[in-house]
Amino acid sequence: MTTRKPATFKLNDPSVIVRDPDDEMVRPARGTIQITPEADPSQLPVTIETPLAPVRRGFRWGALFWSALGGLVVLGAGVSAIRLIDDLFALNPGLGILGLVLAVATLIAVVVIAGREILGLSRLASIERLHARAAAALLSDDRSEGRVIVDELLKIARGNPRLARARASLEGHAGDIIDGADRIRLAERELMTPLDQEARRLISVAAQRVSVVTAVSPRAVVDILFVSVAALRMVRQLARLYGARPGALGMIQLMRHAVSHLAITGGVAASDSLIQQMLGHGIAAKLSARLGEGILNGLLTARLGLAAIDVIRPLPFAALPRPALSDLAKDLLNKRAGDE
Amino acid sequence: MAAMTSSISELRLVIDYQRENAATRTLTLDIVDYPGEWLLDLPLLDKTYEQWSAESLMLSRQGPRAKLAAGWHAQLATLDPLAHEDEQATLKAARLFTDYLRTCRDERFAMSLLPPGRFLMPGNLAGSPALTFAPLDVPNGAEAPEHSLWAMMQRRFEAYKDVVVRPFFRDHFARLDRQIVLVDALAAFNAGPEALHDLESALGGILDCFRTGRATWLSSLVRPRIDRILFAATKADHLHHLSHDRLEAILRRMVERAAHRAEMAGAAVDVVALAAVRATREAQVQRGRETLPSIIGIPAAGETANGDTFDGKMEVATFPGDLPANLDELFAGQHSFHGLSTKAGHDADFRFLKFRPPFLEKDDAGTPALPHIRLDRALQFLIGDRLT
Repeated sequence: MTTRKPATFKLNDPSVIVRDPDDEMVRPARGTIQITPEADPSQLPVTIETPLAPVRRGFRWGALFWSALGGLVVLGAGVSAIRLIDDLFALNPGLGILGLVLAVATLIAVVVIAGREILGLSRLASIERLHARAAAALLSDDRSEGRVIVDELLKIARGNPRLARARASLEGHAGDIIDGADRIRLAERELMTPLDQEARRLISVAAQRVSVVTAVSPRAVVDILFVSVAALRMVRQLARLYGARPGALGMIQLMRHAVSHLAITGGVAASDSLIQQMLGHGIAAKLSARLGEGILNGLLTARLGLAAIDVIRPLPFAALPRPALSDLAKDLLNKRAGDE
Repeated sequence: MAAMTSSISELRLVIDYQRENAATRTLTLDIVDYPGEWLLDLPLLDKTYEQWSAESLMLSRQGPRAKLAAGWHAQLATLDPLAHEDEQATLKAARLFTDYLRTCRDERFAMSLLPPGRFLMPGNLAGSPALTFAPLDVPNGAEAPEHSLWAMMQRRFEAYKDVVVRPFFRDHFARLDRQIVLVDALAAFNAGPEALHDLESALGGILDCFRTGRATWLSSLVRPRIDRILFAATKADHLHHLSHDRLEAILRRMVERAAHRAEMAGAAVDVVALAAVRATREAQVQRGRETLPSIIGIPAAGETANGDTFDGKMEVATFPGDLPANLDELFAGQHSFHGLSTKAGHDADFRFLKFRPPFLEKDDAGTPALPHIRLDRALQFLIGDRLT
């Protein structure tokens, strides 16, 4: 770029035209200079989300109760196991040794499982923290914070070979001077686009499966079992996709968050799509009760999936559009139409 | 608008606030404002009169300074450091030396490394005998003979350090725990590469005097340390916001070494382009095929550009020039760009005008607050952690 020399224009000069920014672009006459004042970005009203009333971090009596109870149960189990092994030794030394070996194996397995669960939980917690920090950085536009967040995001994405190209291109921008919020948006565009597409596919597959099985299943019990299994499977797949890999406790935590998120956002979304769903369900139910039930169950599964994405995605939706239920519903109905 | 700080002033602000956990707290904020020129004295504490003389002379013979120092140099040549002390000659030398320092600070040259700072900003010492000394061309490695001019200058330099610099350091500077350093990089761009280099070395010298480090409860009782430093490139309203990133990058580059040292010691460092009073609006100027990101404002009376002198009433749009993106080239040589110190006005690569503050329309809610740029970010960095 050639350097441009400084220049000064007097606004009362006859060859200078000050233009209203809302006016249409007019070709400036020869020799005139057009000046277009810009809207002031920093003077625009800033939207500040009022945070929910913070949870009182007092002493957690509930936690104490459950920990103490758990400790008692473990102690009881330990004592009864030792009694059992004693009895076995008294009966026959061979049986006693076998009992001891089994007890040790159980202990080792418990320790390993607990370790994995803790690891899964902490991964889940770190993703949720990252999500919150990214949301804060999008507001504050803090450059160093943005850089730290993108670095952590890259660390999470390191395990996913499908993101190799996106990672490389994002790392190529590491040295550039980018504002905090823009850097996070860039990272979202690069890293989350393929994951979001895959997530959408996973949800629509699960929703289709649920709706088909509900439509043809002979008994309600089968429905319930299948729907819950499919929903669990879908949430687990989504979590793995975004890099969380939760264990069993992690899954419980994640389902809890997803369902509570669904409860919060459900109210917001009710106005637009729930009515449509019910209407659609009504029409479908007129055609066939089972078909309508199937579609409703499928849509509910999809809704759960969307809530799970909100909870498990490391970045908030800022640059990319949030997948909407209507897109998924289209997938679902298209598929049905294609099948029949 | 640049309001000159000419003396030290303090303001105590008591902030009552409620914490997230509903507890009410009080934060007492002491704001200390002192002239940046006085900071230039801090590096003197470690120097002898001979070192300071040699450095001042060397600087005054370089670049555009040589021309400005001609008067003082002429008188200096007539002085013999070994001669008997002479009060009149000393007075004259001090006056000429002060004049030289003042001219260096003129808008066209915008030099920064001009110790001792009280010569420029005497504060309550204006006209005091503490300020009557000047560098001499003293021989290397020799001792000052008794009752010589040299010995007198040396005595006064030491007295200046003991009576003026040390009390300032002890009573004000050493008590700080948060520091904001306002840097007028745009004036240096107006003047030329020499001014920019000068600014860089002045900043480097000052920053070595900051006592930085993570604050602990013990250090905060006994010896406060600065645990957050904010470098602020001021007058960010004098250029289009698209260039703010570059301005920040340039300042970051200038304080890189000191910032690194401070971070190593555990202090947090940030760089921000800000304007405490936003005097301009932004606009795009279409000239032929070119679109120039510009600013609109009312230049202060007496400002000149392209041969026009402004009266403080007329509104103009100005494009100040593109700040360089390549920092290595910018800091590489003496000729990376042209400023007012070497070229006439219309050949300079940058022209940052001074603007008067905006007129505020009084409305129902009273007089609105002055608009600013990123003052909120600066406050968040400096005291945000104390208000959580």
